[in-house]
Amino acid sequence: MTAIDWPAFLLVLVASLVSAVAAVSLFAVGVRLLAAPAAGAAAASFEPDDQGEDDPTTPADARPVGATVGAIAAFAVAAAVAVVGVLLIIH
Amino acid sequence: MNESIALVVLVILFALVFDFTNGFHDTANAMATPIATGALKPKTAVLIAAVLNLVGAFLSTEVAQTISGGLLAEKDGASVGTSIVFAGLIGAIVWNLTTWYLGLPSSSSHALFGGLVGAAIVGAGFGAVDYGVLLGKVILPAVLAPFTAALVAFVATRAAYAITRRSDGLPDGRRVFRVGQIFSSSLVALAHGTNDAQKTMGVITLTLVAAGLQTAGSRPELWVVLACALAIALGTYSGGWRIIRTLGTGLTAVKPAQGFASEVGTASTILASTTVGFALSTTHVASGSVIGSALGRQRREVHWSTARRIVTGWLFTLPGAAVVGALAALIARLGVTGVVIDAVLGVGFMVAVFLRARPERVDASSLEAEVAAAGGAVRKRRRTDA
Repeated sequence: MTAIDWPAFLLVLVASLVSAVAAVSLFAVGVRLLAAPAAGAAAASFEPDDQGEDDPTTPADARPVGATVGAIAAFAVAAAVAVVGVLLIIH
Repeated sequence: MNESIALVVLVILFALVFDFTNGFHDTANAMATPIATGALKPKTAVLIAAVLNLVGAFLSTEVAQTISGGLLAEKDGASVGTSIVFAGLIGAIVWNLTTWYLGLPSSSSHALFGGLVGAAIVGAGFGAVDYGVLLGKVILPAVLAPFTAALVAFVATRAAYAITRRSDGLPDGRRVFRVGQIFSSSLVALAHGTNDAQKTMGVITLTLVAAGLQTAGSRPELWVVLACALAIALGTYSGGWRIIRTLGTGLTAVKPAQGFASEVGTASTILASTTVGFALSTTHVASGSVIGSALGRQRREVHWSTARRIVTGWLFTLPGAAVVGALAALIARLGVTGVVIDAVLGVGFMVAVFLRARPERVDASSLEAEVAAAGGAVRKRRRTDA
């Protein structure tokens, strides 16, 4: 009988939880920044879809430049987390 | 000698057929959610999944080596012969086709392990199976993986919604998650190729070792890797539309942010498991993630009846495939005649299932129509609101 490797189960749980939440949060920060409103935008001008699940971003020309740059940086770091995950299994 | 070579060829053919069923059974794991949210067209989705499965199959052979030298013990008097592997494969294929027909995302890996274990017990006695490996590497991960994935997807979904939520009534930009889904589902397809294609490589290597054509403990031959990669990619491309429908629309109505979080949860759980050497069921992980992410949304809606149907399928997969594998092993004991009977019955079953499934065919275009109909309903409601 081979012993059951309990620490490995814990490692899988912690590693996948940390990496997934990090990647998703970074991507979400990027999404949030892309939706940064133009100066003076009023809430009343936008009619949200029925569940607020599929709204578009702020048009690029109306969005503050800092928000666009921040969003790209957030997406890049999220992608880097994914690439590290793939590199881990290539032996 | 000619007979044993013929048997080896037969086993390799059936192993590749299993690999093909593995591919189309599991396309849903990666592509059900992006198809459901409209992030990818069904045909594009399966093409991406097929290519990435092909690439993934070449990335690692760790899991293959675990299978060819782990689960089935090579002990005194209890060595596993080629005909046993053959009977196990029949058990796995029959189970995989049955669950595909029912649209159940059951684990192809468990079907394979179940078939092999059942055949080994009948063909070589109880001593032929390493129960420690069976419990620690197959059964426990099977129970824990969906919960791990569900928890990961739940937290990730919560985070995604919390970060993008707006209180000022302006658009939240969540449509961008659809773009993210193209990458996250691709990651799942790649992870699937690294884990699942190797299971068949392991079986073929096990056969070659058993037949004395390859030394024990060596890596899979290049032609084995190539054949398995192609078989799983072709299977993936043919698309298991029935299961995609169950996983993409049957459990919950998947939204882009949720789909993205769910796929990242699936990919991270599979990658973490492959790193520590668990031959994990990607299907269990994907289903757990879909449910976890649905619970993470504020408007939570999970069709628990579908979830129960899926879990029942899981519970029966290992023993079900084991019983079929055991029966096939019993027949195989008749010698060459038995193996021929097994092969004829196996092929007959495959043909019968495909013929039965034809009248109620689920394919790319019918699925696309379903997704479009759901999208149309949402748009219509929006216009009425405005």
